[in-house]
Amino acid sequence: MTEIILDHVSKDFEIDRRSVRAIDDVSLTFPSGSFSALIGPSGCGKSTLLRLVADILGPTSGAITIGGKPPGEARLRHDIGFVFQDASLLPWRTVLDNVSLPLEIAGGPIGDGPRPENLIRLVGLSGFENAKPAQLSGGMQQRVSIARALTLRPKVLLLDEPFGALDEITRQRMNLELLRIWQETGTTAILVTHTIGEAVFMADQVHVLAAHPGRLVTTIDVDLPRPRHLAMLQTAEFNRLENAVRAALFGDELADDGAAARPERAHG
Amino acid sequence: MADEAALAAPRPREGGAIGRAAGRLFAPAAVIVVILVIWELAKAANLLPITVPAPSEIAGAFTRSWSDLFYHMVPTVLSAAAGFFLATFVALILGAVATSWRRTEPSIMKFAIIVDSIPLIALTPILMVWVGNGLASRIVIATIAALFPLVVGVIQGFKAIDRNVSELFHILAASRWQRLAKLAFPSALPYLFSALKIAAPLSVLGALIAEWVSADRGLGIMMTYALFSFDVPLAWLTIVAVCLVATIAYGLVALAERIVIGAPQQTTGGGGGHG
Repeated sequence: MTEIILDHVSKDFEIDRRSVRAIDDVSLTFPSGSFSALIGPSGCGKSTLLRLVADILGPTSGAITIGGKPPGEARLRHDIGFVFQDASLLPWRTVLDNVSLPLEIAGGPIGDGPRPENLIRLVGLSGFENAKPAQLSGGMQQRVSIARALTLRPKVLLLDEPFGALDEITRQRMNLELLRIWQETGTTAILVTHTIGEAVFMADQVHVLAAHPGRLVTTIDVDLPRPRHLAMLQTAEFNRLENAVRAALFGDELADDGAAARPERAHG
Repeated sequence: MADEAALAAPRPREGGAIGRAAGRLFAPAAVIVVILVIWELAKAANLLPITVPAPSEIAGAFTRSWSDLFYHMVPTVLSAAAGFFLATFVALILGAVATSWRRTEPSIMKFAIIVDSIPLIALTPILMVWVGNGLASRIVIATIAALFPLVVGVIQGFKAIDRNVSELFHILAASRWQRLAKLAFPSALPYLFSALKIAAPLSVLGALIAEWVSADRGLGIMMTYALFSFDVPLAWLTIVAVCLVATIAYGLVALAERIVIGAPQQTTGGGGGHG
């Protein structure tokens, strides 16, 4: 199984010869096959956390395991799929060649990995196999990058604000598709986002982070049934969960605003 | 998805690709013809010094000595082409080393700058002593002349890699070679071609300088002979020939660029005022 465990993980960066703490003592468990969301203000280290799991960065202290092994092993076994904020496609390659890139690098499919053509169909881009990225819209490019991340049938899917640059309507559609794909593939997914509604709609658990230094505030369990539907966005339960995340994100500020507003109104 | 269909719609335009190419060539050709006519008239009116022949005199030199011209052009083109390809090869290797082992980059850049800052005309006699005054030394000088822009272009191109894509290759556990072949090299191609377009005429110049110093055959030595024998039209003929060789070298690189990278982004560029 591919449970991901962060055990007292801290990460320092060197900026102008000064050590700056980006992540401070974060312990988290992402259950195998679950969908988790990381949400927090900029500077809370949520992207850094994702890069630690992907073995792009190494922790300063603490330990990370993926299925009981260090992230480096998972990476070398091609168990990790990563979707960046921008599609990050190779502009000189066609859609099909971009999706096939991981196969070329790994030297063939891993086990019974899906065929690139099927993945392109899965993300709804049939007929665009031979298009170049520049010919596609932003949403379509991002779908290509999701297909590319799934090519080697990763056990872990890391999503770094994948739809952050898209408009609200496209983003909702993409999120629904992403959930469908996640349920078909059964990977352990971690989504970094700064949208409260998105975090609640997508995840089983929402981990709320605070900034300077990045640290875990609380974890909110989302017990909405699956599969999720857009209609759930309007339920009272969804609102209650959104408010719980908001309360964790803003903490005392929510109460302070109310207190500060009153005397102001008296003056005006 | 309606917007994609709109993108694919062809632009309605009369005339095929050949017609458009002819249209692009017409304006510069017309300018050259006008300049030649003015030049010829100025010479006929005795407005130009004796060291400047009329275009018709240069044409006369061509009909008189075209076989000599092509006889001397062959080794110049050969050493320039060999130097050009050798310089490209060396620049690619230096660029690959600088990219794969980042710490070597400052040293490689300094080396390239030092080599470039040595005046070729001073270096040539020394190289002739070291390598001998045969074809090999002329190729080496053409290589050195073309090397610097290529090294800069290749290193810059290899550096112009998107950070996320670089992280993707790390996640995919790509080998050094895969990273070079599938990411760094294709990313560098536009930079490489810009550098190649600068380097192609430079390698012609390098070959020419080498021939000035020592050669028994080549446009450089033909130019020197013509000057020493006060055959002004012939000297000018060799200059025109060198210009043509350098321009053709540039044109061939530009053509290769179009074939490898594809046509530049089709904007409204074709719509200009050519009739």
